[in-house]
Amino acid sequence: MQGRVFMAVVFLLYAASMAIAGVPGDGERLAETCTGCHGTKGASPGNYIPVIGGQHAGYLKKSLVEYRDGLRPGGVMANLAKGYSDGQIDDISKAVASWKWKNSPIKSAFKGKKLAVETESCVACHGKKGEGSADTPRITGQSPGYLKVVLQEFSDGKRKSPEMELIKGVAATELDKLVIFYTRK
Amino acid sequence: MNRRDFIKNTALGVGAVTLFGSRAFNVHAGEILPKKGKRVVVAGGGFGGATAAKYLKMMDPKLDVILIEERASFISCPVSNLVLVGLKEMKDITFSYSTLAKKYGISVLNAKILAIDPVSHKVETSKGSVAFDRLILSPGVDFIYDNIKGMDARSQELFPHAVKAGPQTIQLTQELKAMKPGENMVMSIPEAPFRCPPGPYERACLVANYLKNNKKGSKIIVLDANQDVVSKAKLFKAAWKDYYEGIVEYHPDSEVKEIKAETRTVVASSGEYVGAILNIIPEQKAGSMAFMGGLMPQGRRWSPVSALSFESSVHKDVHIIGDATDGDVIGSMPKSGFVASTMGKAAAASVMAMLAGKEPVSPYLANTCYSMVNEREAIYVTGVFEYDPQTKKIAGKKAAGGVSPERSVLLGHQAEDWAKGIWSDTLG
Repeated sequence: MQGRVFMAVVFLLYAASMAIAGVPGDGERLAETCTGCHGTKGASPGNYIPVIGGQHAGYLKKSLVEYRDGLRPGGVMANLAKGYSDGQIDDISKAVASWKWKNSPIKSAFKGKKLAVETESCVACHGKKGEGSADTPRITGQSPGYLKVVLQEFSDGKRKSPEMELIKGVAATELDKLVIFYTRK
Repeated sequence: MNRRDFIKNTALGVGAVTLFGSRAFNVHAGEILPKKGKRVVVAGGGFGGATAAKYLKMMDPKLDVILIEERASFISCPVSNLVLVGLKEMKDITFSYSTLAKKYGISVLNAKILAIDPVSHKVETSKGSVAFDRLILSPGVDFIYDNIKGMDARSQELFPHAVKAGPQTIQLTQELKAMKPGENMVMSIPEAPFRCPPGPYERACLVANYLKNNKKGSKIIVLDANQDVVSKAKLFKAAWKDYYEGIVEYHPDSEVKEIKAETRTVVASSGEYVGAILNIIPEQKAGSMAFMGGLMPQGRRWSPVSALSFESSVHKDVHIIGDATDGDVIGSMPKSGFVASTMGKAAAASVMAMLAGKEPVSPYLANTCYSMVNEREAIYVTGVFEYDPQTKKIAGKKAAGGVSPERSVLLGHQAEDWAKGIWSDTLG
């Protein structure tokens, strides 16, 4: 047992000595291939491509695994996620989560006084400010187009999640209100 | 008479050779931006070079990074096919390098590369010579016209390739607008490899869409030197069948042999074709700077580099990235802006390591490329690539490579955002 601990310590010291000052590690370099679409440090400038920088690591990992295993409709992500091992998915998720969240530059326009939208059920998991935690994504400040697509997938039953069952069959106009609420100016 | 001759003649003229000393004759325009600390020069400000420069500065803001680019602004090849048919304008694909200078502290030198001396670690530019510790070249592509008879300088101007977005994009846009209904456009596609494999086929879709709506009776005749559509074949052919029947006329195995400018005729291996517009995309090779300083071995047209560090196989301390790299040497990857951008990041990391006297680090590359099949719908192709220490080549992960199951409007939205993403990652 002590031998094993000793070996682990030696390995860690060795790994640390391998790191080169200023040069990002493997996880960071893998994650940097994401930023061609998702923007530098995951701050997506687009409407339909989500902000990922600063998203919770648990949720990022869950998403990548679901894309990889075909459990989530994914466009390019359904392919790309198949290119990484479990360990790499772990590393990518941690690296991307370590970046600072930046709200999407695209905001939903809302001119009325009060948005009549039922968010109590959202708050229960995603938090008071839609900040999320662990496996539950941050939703406030997300790219509006992407958020709508995801809600529609849950509503249509194309994407399965026990937590999001409650949104199944909800009308598109109601989903729009939720999107506006979490991405408004 | 160049400056060198001028100095020589003047010196001799006044009989004051000693005044200049023998070294004066070796200096062209003189050194500019004298080097103090460690410096990386990046030559070529496309997707590869600009990204490399930015990521170097992100790793070490104190590192001296000079980006040398001949053009005053960045013009994106992706989305330029949309400009051709009036769905976007030149200003939508034209960007300034100023953020790279202001936000990241990169010295952007707007100059032409004239010569490279890998041994004395100097780059000769139109504004003077610049010293480097390590050089990253992002040469892009250049064109081979020798194999097409009649493709002289005048024909090259008359029949644009519009592969490099810029003046030729504008020219082709204007030609399409001026074309009379019933007239045809002929586009030729060279044998692979060439820049942006899906590019010409996307162009065929978008031009056909434009003709369908604006030029009754016109068609686009596609002469492909390859045996089949090189990228996203099934999806492109489905779009031609479903939307552009009788408007896209596709001829595989059609290599262009000769251009007859007077009659606007293309002589191809499959026959002769006449077009009001000839869009001749010639065979390609690495951009001109890849051939400087003895970096290109005799008889080759793509740059041999290490698949681990992108360091030239010919000269140390010079790294070459992007479309110019030789797929036979490093492993086959599409010559795309996205791949070039990930090569820029990978090379930047290895350059940092090697500046510190360490071993290069493993490159992680990817490709994501969308093509529009009309003004709304898009298709895509993906790839994930990793270095294999056994073969010393970069290999694609099979499961991660592939195309979209179908075309869709949602993918059209994502295509637009893809461009925003990569432009911001490269220049913002």
